[in-house]
Amino acid sequence: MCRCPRALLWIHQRMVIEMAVPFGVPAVPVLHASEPIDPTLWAWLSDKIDHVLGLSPGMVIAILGTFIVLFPIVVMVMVWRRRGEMGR
Amino acid sequence: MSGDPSQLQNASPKKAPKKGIFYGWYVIAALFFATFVAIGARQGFGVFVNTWEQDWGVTTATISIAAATGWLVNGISQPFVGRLTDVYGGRRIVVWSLLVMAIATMGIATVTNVYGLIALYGFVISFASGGVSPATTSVIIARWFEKKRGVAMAVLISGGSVGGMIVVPFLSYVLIEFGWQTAWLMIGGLALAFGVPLLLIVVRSNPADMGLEIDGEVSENTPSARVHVRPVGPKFAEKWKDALSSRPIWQLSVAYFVCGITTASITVHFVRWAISEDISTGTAALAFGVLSGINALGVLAIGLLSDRWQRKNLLGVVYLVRAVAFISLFVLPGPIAIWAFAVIGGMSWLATVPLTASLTADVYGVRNLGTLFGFTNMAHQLGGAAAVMLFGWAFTAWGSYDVPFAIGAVTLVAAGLVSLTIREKEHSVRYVQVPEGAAVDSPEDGD
Repeated sequence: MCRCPRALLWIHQRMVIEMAVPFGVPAVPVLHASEPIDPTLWAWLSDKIDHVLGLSPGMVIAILGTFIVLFPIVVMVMVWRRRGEMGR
Repeated sequence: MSGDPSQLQNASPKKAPKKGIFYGWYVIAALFFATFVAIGARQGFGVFVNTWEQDWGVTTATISIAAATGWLVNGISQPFVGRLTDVYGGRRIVVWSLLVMAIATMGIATVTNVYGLIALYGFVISFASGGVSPATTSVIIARWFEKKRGVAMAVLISGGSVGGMIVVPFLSYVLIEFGWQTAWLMIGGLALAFGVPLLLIVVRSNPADMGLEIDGEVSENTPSARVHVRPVGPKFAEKWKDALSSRPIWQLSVAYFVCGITTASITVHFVRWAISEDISTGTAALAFGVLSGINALGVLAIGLLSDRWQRKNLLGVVYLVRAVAFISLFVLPGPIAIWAFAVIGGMSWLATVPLTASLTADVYGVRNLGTLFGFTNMAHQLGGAAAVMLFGWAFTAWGSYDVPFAIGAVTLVAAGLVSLTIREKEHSVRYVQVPEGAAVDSPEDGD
C-alpha cells in the first residue's frame, strides 16, 4: 500500500486535532499571521470588558463602528486636502 | 563602496523644503486600514465557532477544518500574490484582494453548512487575504520609503494588531446583538464601502505616479536623471529565481521559518501549557494582554531603531530575546514563567516582520520584492503549520511541553546567529551604492 496517502491523512488529522481546541490564544493583538482567536478565551475577555466598562453591546458597537467608519473618511479628507496643496 | 547609511543617504537627491506631510504616510494610513479590516475579519472567525456548532450541529474539530485549510492556503498564496504584485503593481493587487475578500466575507452570511465555510473562509478569503498581507503591502511601502523604511513597515504591521483589538470585539458584540449573519455582512460591507474606495483613492504603487520621489525628496537634477525609486538592490537578479542562489534570502527565510515555528506553536499551545501548569485561563489571558501592550510598543521602537542601526543586528537580537522567553517557559516555575514570557516575549513578537521585510527590500530591491518576501512568508507559515502539529505530538508523547519549548529555544538561537551572519554592509542598499544605470525605475506598473 502506498505510504503517501497515509502520510497525508496523518498530517490532515494532526492539523485538525491541533487547531481544533483552541483556535488560538486570547492574544488578539499578538496573533502573528491572522489566526482565529480562541473562542473560550474570547468569552472570558468579553466578560471582563463588560465588567470593566459596563457598556451595553449596542454602545460598544456604536463606539467601535464609529471608529471603523471615521478612520477611512478622515484619511480620505486629509488626502483630498493634501492633493489640493500639491495641485493634483 | 560601503559606509555609514546616513552619509550615503545624504549623498542622494537633495531635500526639498518640507511642505506638508509626505504622501507616503497617507499610503501607509490606507494600507493600515486595509490590513486592519482584513486581519481583524480573519481573527474574528474564532468568535463564531460556538454559534456555528449550535446552529449547524457540528463539532469544533469539523469547523476547525476551515481554519486549518485557511492557514495553509494563506501561506501557499504568499509567493503567488507576491509575484502578481511584482508584475501588475501593488495597488491593483491590494484593491482586488480586498474587493474579493469583502464580497466573500459578506458571502459567509449566506452559508448554511461547514462545507460552504471551508470554501469561502478556507479558500477564497484566506487566498485573497494573502493580497492584503505584508507580501503585497510591504512592496508598496518599500517603493515609497527607503530612509524610514523600518518605521514605515512597523506602523503598517501594527495595523494588524489594531485590527484585532477593534474588529474582533466589534464582531463579537454584533453577534450578540444581531446574530452572526449580520456580523459578517457588516464587516464585509464596511470593507467594501470604505476599504476598497480608500485604497483606490489613496494608494499608488510608486511615488512617481504622484510626481514624487522616494522618501519625499526631489532632485535638483534634470528630470531624466531623477531617481524615482531604486528598483534594485546590491543582490538584485533580473529573474527572481536567481536570487534564490544567493545567501541572504536563505538566511532570512530560515530565520523567518523559525519565527513561524515559535509564534504559531505559542498561539495554539499556550493555553494547554498554562492548563498543564495549573494556571487559570484568566491569568493566561491577562498575561497575553501584557504581552500585547509591550509588543505594540516594541514593534514601533524596533522600527525606529532599524532606520539607524544595522537591521540584521536588531533581527538577531530579537530572535535571541525570544529564545530567552522560551527558555523561561521550561526553566522557571509556571506562574513566574508566564509573566517572564509575557514581558520578554512581548518585546520580540512582531518585531521580526518589519525587520525581515525591510532587509529583503534593502538587499534585493523592490522589483522582485513581492515574490521574494512572499517566498519568505510562505516559509514562515509552513514552519508554523509544522510546529503546531509537532508540538501537539510531543505533548501527547511526553505529557509536557518542556522538550518542544527547549527545541523552540534552540531553533531561535540558531535563527539569531543566522541573522547576525547576514553581511548587511556588503549586501544592503543602505551601505552599498547601486550603480547609477540601475537607479531609474521604469514605472511599468504605475497605476
